[in-house]
Amino acid sequence: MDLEFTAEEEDFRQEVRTWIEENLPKDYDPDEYFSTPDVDKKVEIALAWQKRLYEGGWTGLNWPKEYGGRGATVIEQHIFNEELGRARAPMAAINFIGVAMVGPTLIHWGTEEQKKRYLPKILSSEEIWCQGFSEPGAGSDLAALSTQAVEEGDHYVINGQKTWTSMAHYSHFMYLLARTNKDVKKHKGLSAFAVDMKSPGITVRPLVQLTGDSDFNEVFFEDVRVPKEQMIGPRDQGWDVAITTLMYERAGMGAGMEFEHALNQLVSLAKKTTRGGISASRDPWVRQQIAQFIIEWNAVKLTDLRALSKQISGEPPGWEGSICKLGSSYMNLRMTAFAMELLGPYGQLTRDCPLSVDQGAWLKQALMARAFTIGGGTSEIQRSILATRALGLPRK
Amino acid sequence: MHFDFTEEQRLFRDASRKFLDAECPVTFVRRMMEEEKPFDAAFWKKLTELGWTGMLIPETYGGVEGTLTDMIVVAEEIGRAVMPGPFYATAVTGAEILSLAGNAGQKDHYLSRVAEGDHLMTLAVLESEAGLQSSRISAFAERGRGGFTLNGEKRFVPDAHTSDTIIVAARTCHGTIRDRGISLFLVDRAAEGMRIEQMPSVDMSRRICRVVMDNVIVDEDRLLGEIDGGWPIIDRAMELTHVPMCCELVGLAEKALEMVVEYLKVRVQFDRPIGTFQALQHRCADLMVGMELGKSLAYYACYASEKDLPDAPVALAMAQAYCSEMARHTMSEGIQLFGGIGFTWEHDLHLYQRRAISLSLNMGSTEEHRERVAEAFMGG
Ligand SMILES: Cc1cc2nc3c(=O)[nH]c(=O)nc-3n(C[C@H](O)[C@H](O)[C@H](O)COP(=O)(O)OP(=O)(O)OC[C@H]3O[C@@H](n4cnc5c(N)ncnc54)[C@H](O)[C@@H]3O)c2cc1C
Repeated sequence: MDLEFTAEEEDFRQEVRTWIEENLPKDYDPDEYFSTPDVDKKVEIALAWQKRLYEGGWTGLNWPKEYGGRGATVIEQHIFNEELGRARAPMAAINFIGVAMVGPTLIHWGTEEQKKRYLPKILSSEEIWCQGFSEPGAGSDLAALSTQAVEEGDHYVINGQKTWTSMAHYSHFMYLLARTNKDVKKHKGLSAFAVDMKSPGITVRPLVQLTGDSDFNEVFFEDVRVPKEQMIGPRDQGWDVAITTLMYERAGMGAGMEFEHALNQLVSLAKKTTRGGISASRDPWVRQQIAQFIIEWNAVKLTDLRALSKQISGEPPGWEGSICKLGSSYMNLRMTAFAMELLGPYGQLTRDCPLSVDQGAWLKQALMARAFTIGGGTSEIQRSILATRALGLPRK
Repeated sequence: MHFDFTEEQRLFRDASRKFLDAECPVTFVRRMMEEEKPFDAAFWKKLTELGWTGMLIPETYGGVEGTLTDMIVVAEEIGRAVMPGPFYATAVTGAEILSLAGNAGQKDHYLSRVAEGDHLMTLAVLESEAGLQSSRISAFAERGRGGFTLNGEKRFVPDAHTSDTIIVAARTCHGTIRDRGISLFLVDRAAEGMRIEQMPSVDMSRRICRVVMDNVIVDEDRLLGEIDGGWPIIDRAMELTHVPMCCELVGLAEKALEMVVEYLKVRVQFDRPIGTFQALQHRCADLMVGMELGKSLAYYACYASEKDLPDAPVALAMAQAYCSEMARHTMSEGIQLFGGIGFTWEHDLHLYQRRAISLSLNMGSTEEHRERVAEAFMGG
């Protein structure tokens, strides 16, 4: 076992760290960024940051050089993500789908023309992408989706509806999954498309989330014409294309550094909160709870490192992605609920109340916690994946 | 960066598993449980030939001079096979204490015998208030002419009844500065005034004992390490012992989960294998998550301890707290998933449950491990 990075890798870390320090805008306030309900503002900050990363040559780090990436190793990518998280830089959320999901999918499945057309503008954040998978009738059972793409001359004509589409209202393109064949088993009749969001017939309707913010949308398609050359991968093989994408999505979740930051904040909160006249950080029950969260978080981080090791030595990926997602989302759920408990009546105050603690961030995170157990494949679906594929329990 | 066993260690793991499959089937475990003393000299000899007893002993004394990681490779397999009888007390605790504190003569005498498989040892620390703190020790060693006179009572001493030498932690000085005043003595089990009784307990395949010392006289040359300076040695030796114990907990859980999954595939109720019921599938998935998370913590505790990193004690506390609860929970859930058969003496799962209970409690309470984590992250 060897958990040390090589001297070159440490140099790389230093390079990244210095670059971030020098380039993160001086007036950037991470607490504000992560808690503001003003989505426009957030997107603006994130886009500006993406642009800087691009100019510094840091986007698509792990993409092959020929497509504008740096061909970085998985370790470098890991170090880079860690440093971004450490600095609490604006999340790549606005361009995450493009850089982390669509890009690798196009590199894997796209035609040369598609790669030339889309990849550079994903890297530069000139074109933002959203992911049009879920529908009102197809969530966990994604293959049951019914949005149709019918061939008509040199176009496909799209009709149907997508939902929960994050950032669709800021996007230039949608990576769409639609049905091209109704006469075969449901997984066999899907195709993937790159759809211009300005196409006539598309209506985007923002949905208000339970937090009160609007991050996701409903997207309606009425006779939307998509040129044939915008199909990604072969016709009716959209399921395989989507699986490639979801693998990248899962790899990018779970070990998010924001959880670690929240844990540090929780320790500070315990120190400044009093219970029965003494600091809550001295209360044995509080100490036990917080220690447990810290232990579980470390277990997730270390499990992520085990996955990284497998990747480095070229072994097939294990089930660490699902394990980390289940472990971290469950920890976060209890941790944020515990913070509410620690705050007592103050826990209910929103950031608009001058007496709220930490600008109401704990309330927001407690409300947000369910996003992580639903989005990106629900916890139940993750458990079913582990049970049937990792443990080999029979489906029928 | 390689957070996993090396290729060589994997081969070693496969060989160890094969060995235990052949030499330590569950029938052997059950036979040992029935014995007055669960110690099989022939089996111990085989462990010695494999280099397990001399794993942490320097080559100069006939050992293998392996690493702690090599040791946890074995510990995981020991868990999977619920291997009975003494092991860590001699091969880890005893070997480490002598390596750390022994003088040349002591090392030569004891370590080479342990590596040869001719000598068993254990460490006697805990007393009536069974906490692993120097302040809980009241057994006393009075200095006299040419030696010491020991009085006091030790509890929860692993394998004392089969050990040739019992390393006793006794107070040699009252009051004074934190963690000073404890000394270590190499005491023959059969020395006059030593009384050893087994403490009947949950895991009959591994025994713990009560050791009563009534005016036991030991020679000056049996003092191990510096007078009054024994506690840091104990601390480090226990850290190194608890790491493989955490890994054994992981091995127990891994094997128990495999047993459950196999059963769920073949047991039919309502005309279908019960493994098709999602309520059960999801419980198995949760057990897998716990086992893998625990494994990560245990491996890191090993790494930190082997490298003697500053965070080694906290890393261990995390592994102890998590793996203890995880393993006990896995056994409890496993029994539920087996149904009635799981509740029988005949079924093997309770052997794993018993081991999980005794291993985890012998390391202390999870509450105390979590408190150490809290102290590291939030101060006292
Ligand atoms: C914050 C957020 C952002 C999102 N962003 C996007 C996006 O950008 N693009 C996109 O395409 N989608 C997005 N989603 C949608 C997300 O992928 C789906 O919500 C998710 O896959 C679940 O689908 P569903 O909502 O239809 O719930 P359902 O599938 O209807 O599930 C309802 C409940 O039933 C359970 N369930 C369903 N099937 C099973 C089963 N077989 N066994 C056991 N339990 C089951 C689920 O676990 C859940 O608890 C987002 C979701 C959230 C919360």
